[in-house]
Amino acid sequence: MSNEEKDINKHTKSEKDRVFNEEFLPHINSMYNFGYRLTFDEDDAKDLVQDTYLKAYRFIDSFQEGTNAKAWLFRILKNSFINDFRKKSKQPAKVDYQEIESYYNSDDVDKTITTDLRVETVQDMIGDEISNALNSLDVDFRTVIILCDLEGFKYDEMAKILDIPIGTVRSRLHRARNLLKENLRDYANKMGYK
Amino acid sequence: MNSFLSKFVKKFKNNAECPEKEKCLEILSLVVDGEANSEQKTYVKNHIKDCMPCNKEYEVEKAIKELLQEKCVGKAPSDLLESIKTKINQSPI
Repeated sequence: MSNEEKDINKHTKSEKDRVFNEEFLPHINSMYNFGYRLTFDEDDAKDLVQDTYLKAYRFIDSFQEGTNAKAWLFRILKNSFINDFRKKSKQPAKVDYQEIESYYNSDDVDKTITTDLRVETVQDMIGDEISNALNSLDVDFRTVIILCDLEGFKYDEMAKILDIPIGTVRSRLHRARNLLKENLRDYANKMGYK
Repeated sequence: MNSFLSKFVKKFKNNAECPEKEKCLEILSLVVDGEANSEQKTYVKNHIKDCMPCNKEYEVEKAIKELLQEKCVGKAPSDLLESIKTKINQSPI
């Protein structure tokens, strides 16, 4: 290996493996959950997570140890989903994003929802209801809820993962929560909760 | 303020819509997400003592977040980790 190549590949194989095992692999459950909630398909989610980890390994030299590995991995997964997965996937969309985006982009969803949704009603809900309510959100809104509420990322981390300004994170989250509350209220009404 | 008046004001606050709803909800979300500064935290703490609509919103937001954390996280399939490790070991340095 020439000196130049040594400079490019800063990590040796064993160093790469150590960083990979210690910093990256512990996030596999969160990564899979994110992948699954983006694709709604177990095999697609596995492929997406596997691709993400292979990319992470290949570009491990651009990861700075001590920085947030989980956020770095989520950013790669999100980009893989947008750039590779959605382009490759020519199958009929499991969710018709365009159709629902036009609805979600209407002004109605900016109104703050202060419906009759009660805390007791929310607490009585079972997993399927909240999970379905989350899954029925458009991918951009679903993503901010996953990052913030499921994974506990801070707003500034979300801004980096999604490549959007922090103000957009906040407004998107606000919209997403309004929509989620609307979905939950619909479930509550259907189930006859008071 | 006499006690009758203070009860009346409190009752009014409990039932009326919060006049600063938008601002309050924005700050409530910051508190629920752990993004609020100390001034915002104090504001919410004091405000929701008297303002029932905001108090309710705060509790609902917290409950939804807790429910999401509890019900919407899962585990990766057991074969995924091994499959990734195998692929990594096969890849060139």
